[in-house]
Amino acid sequence: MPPTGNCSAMMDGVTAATGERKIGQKRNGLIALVVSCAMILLFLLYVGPKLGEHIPLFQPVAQYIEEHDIEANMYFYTEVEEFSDAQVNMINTMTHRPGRKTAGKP
Amino acid sequence: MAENQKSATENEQVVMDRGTSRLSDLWKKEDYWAIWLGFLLLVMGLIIYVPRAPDGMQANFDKANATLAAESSRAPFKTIAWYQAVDAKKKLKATNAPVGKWIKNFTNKPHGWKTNPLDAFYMSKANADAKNAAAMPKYDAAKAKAADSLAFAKEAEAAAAAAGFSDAALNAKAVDAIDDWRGAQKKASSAKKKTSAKPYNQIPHLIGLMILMIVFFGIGWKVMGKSFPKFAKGFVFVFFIAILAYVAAGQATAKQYGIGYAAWAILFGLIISNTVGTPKWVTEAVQVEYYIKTGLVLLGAEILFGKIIAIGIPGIFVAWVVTPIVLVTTYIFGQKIVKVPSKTLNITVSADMSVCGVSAAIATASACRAKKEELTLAVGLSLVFTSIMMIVMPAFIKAVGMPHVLGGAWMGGTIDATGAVAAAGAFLSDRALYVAATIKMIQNVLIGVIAFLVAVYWVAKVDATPGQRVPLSEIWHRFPKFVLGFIVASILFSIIYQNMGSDAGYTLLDQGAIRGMSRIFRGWFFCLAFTSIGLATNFRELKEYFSGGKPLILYVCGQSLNLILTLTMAYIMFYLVFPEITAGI
Repeated sequence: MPPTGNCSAMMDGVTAATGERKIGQKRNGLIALVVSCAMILLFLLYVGPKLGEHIPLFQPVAQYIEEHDIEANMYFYTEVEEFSDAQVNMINTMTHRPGRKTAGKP
Repeated sequence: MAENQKSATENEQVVMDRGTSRLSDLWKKEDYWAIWLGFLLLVMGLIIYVPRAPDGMQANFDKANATLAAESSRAPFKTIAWYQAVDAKKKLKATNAPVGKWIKNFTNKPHGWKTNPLDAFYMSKANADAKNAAAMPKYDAAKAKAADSLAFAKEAEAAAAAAGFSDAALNAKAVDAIDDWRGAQKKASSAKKKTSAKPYNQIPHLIGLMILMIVFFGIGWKVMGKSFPKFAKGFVFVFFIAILAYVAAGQATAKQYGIGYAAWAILFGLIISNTVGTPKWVTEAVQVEYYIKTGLVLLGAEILFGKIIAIGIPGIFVAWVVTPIVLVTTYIFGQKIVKVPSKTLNITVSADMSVCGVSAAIATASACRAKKEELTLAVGLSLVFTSIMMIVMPAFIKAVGMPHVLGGAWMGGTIDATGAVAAAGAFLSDRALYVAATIKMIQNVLIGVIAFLVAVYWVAKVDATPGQRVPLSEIWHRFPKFVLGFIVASILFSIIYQNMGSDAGYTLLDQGAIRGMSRIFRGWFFCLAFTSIGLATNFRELKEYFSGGKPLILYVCGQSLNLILTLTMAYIMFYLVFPEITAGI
């Protein structure tokens, strides 16, 4: 059955309200996206480094990581150069271990 | 079987698919495509790198080994010549061949940066020169200090040698002087790297890599009867977010806090899906399982069993006895005491905490059909605790005066993420780093065994009807087939490594097919998988899995047990059972 005049107007109103709501949701979503990205940048460029300065334990480790360019945020041993060094050293330590006990070292 | 036939909607939520066996599975299922694609890359890696041994490789090995043999019988400690011979071996890498350098450039993730994100993609010659010039004074100073330290170490070693290496005080003085020289040399080497920046433009390479990956994954997608154009269109977006994740992970602060690409990929995906929403045209390429399974087959090749035997018996005890005990105890504790509502969440968090963080979580979650939210939660927990432990543990070890070998073993066995282990270990000393890295590598090898056992346990027990014995054929139907690819890759590469021997294995396999091929693509595939997880996850759904803070309680209790048991076992092995090995490290 075709909609009556009143019903059609009502549907138009509902469609318009839905459309407005969708536009509002999109706008809010976009704002939230921009704010989130800004917060991430703020953390990386300002808050993170400043926070680190105020944590006494953090500073020396952070400095060491930066100085030696250690990939401290990697997940597997093949991704970290230091593991490659350690592996070669340990294999050679096991196969060519110095003959006598090292004096004076723990 | 009935339990295995879940609805399509439910299956979209898990990290693996349904298990039914037909011949057409070989080309119609992701599990098999993950195996074919993974092995294609692995075979390519072998073909490219194994025939490209550096010039005079064997002669160099022979020379270095002769020096090592002579020095180890001459002195009771590692002499300067001993270290120099090891350094000479380290330099021999198949990836240094022109083709290796080309592959590295082409597949490279965005570069590291500090304040300007554009540095991740582009650096002009003028900027590179300016950067090098700025770093030069520090390098000159470090180089001079390293030269002085070497001269002093030579003097101290000569004095010890003159006394026939029988004067304990002179030996100790020489060991200290050599340690100082190693430290100074390391600093000089790091400073030198900062003076050798070259101009780059990563953008064309990233576009090329994206096209390559579209074709790579798209072929399988098409054969599985899905739309290639839709996949290609969506992949551009997923790949772009993955690049952003790598850019964030490459920033100096992110490195210092130990926040890696997986965490950033999830975060960026979550932000998009929960703000503007994941565009519909992207969903065809949001394929967590496809990427993760292919990455896991590649990961298998990086798990070399033979290597662990070569790098230390005490480490095997620490990692292979303590880790399974902690894993099983934490899982039982989670079921009986904490009452974690989901068994898959329980085992994923337990493996994540006891083995090696994100890599173990990925493998275990995939093997037991964990939901993507459960994997996300495990990764989040690991991230937070890794950052804390990376800072606190070295400080504690220093404060209490714990021997660095013991401290290294403790950190290697308990800090989740591998990169954080390297940072914490190196921060303490070279000795601590070597031991920590050894323990962590041995733990890494456990991933394969654990993934296999979890997959078998899940199909045979957890997913089975209570009280019913599951026949072997049924286990085969249900078994996640990509795990077989993972295990076969591991066994195959372990055999090749073993046959080559540790020297050639390091040069051609470790620093060739693995680091020059498998590692690069595996990193990208995991990053794409975590981006997909974020893009398909709703914050509210994620919150439900954290209800009552049970995963956190599980993690904290499990990690506390891990800390106690690892320290105890490390002390027993390194100081009571194998003190001679400890003294030689």
